Amino acid sequence: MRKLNLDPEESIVVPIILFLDATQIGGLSSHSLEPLMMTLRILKRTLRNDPRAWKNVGYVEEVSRILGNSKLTPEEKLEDYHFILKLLMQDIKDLITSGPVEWVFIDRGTGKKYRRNMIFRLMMIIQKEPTDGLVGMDLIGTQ
Amino acid sequence: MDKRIRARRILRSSTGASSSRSVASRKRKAPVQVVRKTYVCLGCNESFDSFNRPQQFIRSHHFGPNAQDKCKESLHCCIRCDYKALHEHDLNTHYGSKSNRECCIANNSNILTLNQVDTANASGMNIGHGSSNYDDVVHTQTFQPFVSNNDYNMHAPRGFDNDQSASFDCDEIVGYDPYTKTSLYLKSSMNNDHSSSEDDIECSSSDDEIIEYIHHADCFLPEVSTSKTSKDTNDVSLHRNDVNLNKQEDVPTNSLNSLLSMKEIMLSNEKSMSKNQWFVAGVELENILSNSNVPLHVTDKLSSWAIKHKDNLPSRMSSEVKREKIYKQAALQMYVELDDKMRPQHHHIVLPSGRRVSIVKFDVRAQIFSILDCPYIDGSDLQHLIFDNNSNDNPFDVLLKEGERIKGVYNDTETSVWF
Repeated sequence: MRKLNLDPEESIVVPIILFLDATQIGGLSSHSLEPLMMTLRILKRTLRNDPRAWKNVGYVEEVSRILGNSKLTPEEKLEDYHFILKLLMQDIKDLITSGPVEWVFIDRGTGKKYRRNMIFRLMMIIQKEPTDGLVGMDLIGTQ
Repeated sequence: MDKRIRARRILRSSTGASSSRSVASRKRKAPVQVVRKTYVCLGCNESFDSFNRPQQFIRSHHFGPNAQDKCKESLHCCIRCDYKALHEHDLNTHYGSKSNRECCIANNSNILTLNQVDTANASGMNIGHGSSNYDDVVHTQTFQPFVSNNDYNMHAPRGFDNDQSASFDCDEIVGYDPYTKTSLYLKSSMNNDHSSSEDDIECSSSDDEIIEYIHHADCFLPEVSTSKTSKDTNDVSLHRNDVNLNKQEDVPTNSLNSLLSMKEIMLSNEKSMSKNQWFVAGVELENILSNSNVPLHVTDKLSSWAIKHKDNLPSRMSSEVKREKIYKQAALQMYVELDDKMRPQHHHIVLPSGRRVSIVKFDVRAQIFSILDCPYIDGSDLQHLIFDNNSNDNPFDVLLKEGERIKGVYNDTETSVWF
C-alpha cells in the first residue's frame, strides 16, 4: 500500500481465488468442459460454499479438440493450452496492475457505509492432471 | 501330404464312406416324431387325429369347404378378436393371458354391462336402466367359482351332469353371489310384461341348488316383494331386492359384487362429473407439474400467481411469455447499457501451433461487480464478509490487542470437514 501511495485505513486487499478443473459432460461421453471459475476471498466461507459466489471467467477449449489427433509435440500442445489460459486471465492481470478499485461497503446492522479501495491480488488454486507439470499442483500458492 | 489327402478323398468317394462328423450331423437332423392329439368336434361329434394344433383343426374343419353350421356353433368365440376355441376353458385361457389384455377388458366390460342391473341395485342407486324397458328375467343357479385372476369369466357350474353343463350358456351370467353361492343369469330372450312379474316367478328348491326366476323390473322397487313360495320357506325363492339387502348387511367390501359396484359408481361419477373450466385447467396444470417432477405444493403457488396476474398475462398465443423472452427482458431492464458487458464473448484466436479455436470469455470486472452487487450473495454487506469486527469504528481493521495494531490476519472460521 505504501508503494501504491494508499492510505492503509481506507484500503483493503481483495484476493481473487481462481479454480480450474475439467469435468466430463456425460457419463458415457468423452467430451469435457473446463471452466475457469473465480470468487473473492473476502467473502465468508459459508458464502463461498454457495455456487452463486463463483463466477465464470471463461472456458478452456475442449482438450480433446486441442490435444487430440494431432502431429504436434506435447510441448506445442502445452504451449497452446497456456496461450488460452493467458488469454482468459488477461483481464485479471489488467485488474491487478491497474491499481485500486473503489467500492462502498455497507453495514446492514448499523447502516454505516464505508468507501474503500480494493487492491486485487491473485490466489490461484488449480486442479489439474499431474501429468501436466507446467500447470500442475506446483503452481498452487498466493501472490 | 497333399497326395495323401487327395488319395483319402478319392477312396471315400469311391467307397461311399463318410466321416464321423457327417454321421453325427445326420443323427442330429433326424426328424422328431410328432405326437398328434385327437380332436373332437362338439358339433358333429367326430374325432380327428391328423392335426397338430387346435387352431389348425378349427381352420380346416370348422371353416373348411365342407364345414357345417352346427360345427361352427360349437366353437367359443372371443368377443373382441377373431380367436375361436374348441372349449370354454381355452377361451378363458385366452382371456386370462397377458398378451390378450384388451380381450379380457372387453369381456369384463361386456359382463359388466349385463351386470349393471345387479350392481346398481347393490349400490342403492338407480343407475342406467331404472326407467328402461328391461323385462329380462334373472335366473340364479347354485355353483362355485373357479379360482382365477379373471374376475368374471371363470365361473363354472358345479353339481351338473354333462348334459346339463353342455346346455349351460356362459353369456347369460349376469352376476354371482359368493355367499348364497348363486349365479344370476339374464334371459334376454324372454319378453314378458311388467305386470306379469308374478307369473314369471318359478321356484324349485333342493339341498344343493336353488333356481330362481326373478323379474328384473322389480329390483328397483323399494318394497319387499312376495313370491309364491317365500311364505313357506326362507331359502326357496328370494326376491332380487332381498338378495341385495342381505348383501349390504353381510357382504364385506372385498367381495366380487362390491368391486363391481365400485366400478359402476366410478363410471356414473365420470358421466355426471362437472367439467368446469377451472377444474379442467387445474387438472392440466397438475399433470404438467407432476410430469416435470415439480414438488406438488408448487401447484397452489402457481394457481395463486395465475389469479394475481390474470389481467397482465397476454391473451394471445403469439405473445406468449417464454422463458428466453423473460431472460432477455430482465437483462435489458437490469443492466441497461451494461448488458453487452455482462454477456460472454466469443474470441476467435489463432494458437501458437497455427490452429484456430473459439474461446468463450467473460469480463472479469463485470463478474466481480456481480459478486459484490448480487442480491443473493451481497458482497457489499459486511455481515457477509470476513470484516465483521463490529467492536471497532473501522470494521476493516485487523485484530487489535490492547489498543495497538498488531500484525494480524483476517480471520475466517473454518467450517469444512477437512480442517
